[in-house]
Amino acid sequence: MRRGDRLLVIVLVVAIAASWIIARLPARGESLLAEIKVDGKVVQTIDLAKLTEPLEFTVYSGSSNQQTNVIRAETGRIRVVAANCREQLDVRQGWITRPGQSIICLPHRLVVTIRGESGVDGIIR
Amino acid sequence: MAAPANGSARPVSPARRLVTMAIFVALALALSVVENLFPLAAFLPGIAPGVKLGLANIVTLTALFLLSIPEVLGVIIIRVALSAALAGGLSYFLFSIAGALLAFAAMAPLVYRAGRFVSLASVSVVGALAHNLGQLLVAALLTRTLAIVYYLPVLLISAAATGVLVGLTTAFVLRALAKSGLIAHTPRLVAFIPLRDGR
Repeated sequence: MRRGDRLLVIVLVVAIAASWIIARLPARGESLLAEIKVDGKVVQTIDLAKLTEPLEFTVYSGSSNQQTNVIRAETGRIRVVAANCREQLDVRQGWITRPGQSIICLPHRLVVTIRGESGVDGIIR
Repeated sequence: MAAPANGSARPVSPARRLVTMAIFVALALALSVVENLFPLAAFLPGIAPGVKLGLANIVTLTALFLLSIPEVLGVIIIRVALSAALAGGLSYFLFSIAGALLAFAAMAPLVYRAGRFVSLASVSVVGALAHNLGQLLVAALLTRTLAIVYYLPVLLISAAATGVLVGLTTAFVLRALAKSGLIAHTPRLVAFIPLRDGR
């Protein structure tokens, strides 16, 4: 290892630790609003912070409502548990927990986003 | 084809440069096909969507030692345009070109100036970091959100890992090329790949 290499390792370790800590900071907002949109229109809004027991429901979309996404919301988190889209990217993404995160199911034009009053997202906006 | 002697500065005819560029473009395209055969992200579902090996960076990094700056830029732009035409579309092009050009911009000064200070693996890691940052910036612009900072730790770690791999591979390639006498032992090459005389 040359001198520059050691420098880079140190910088990288610090950067990884710092960004990891920032990413793990819990959202401090009073509310954690999950918004479910189909085709850009909000079809449902859930306050994840105030949710006391799990909520599971199916969102139908498409011209004859043949497209389905099963969504599960729990206290502080939400995910897509099943869908009849081809790639299943939304299902594989798993839970989202923080403001600004979103799950997108492109074939069904479905977007699940978490909005919050504070946290990184609130500061940046 | 006469192999250039050790230390000769500009041994290469325009035709040979053009052919070298074409080979690099073809190599980069082939590498991206190989890369798609082993989708790294599939092994890390949920944790690291979009993480790639970045094999095309081997080509950019090697080209930086064999070609001039404008020629390397040409290779990058043609390669990205071709793979966008073959595989993706406009957004694919935007993502790739942002990443590729930033990686180039980060690595070129290091290749030319930092030879004895850093090793090739570090140059490649810096390139991978710049590549990921470029893509993150395009993603931020397209989605108009800065929340993707949450994805930063994953990208930093993967850039470090894949960057070292790519850097070591490039060092291997350059050493083999230099020993075979096919390429000139320019100062910037010798600074990264120590070569004993007569080998």
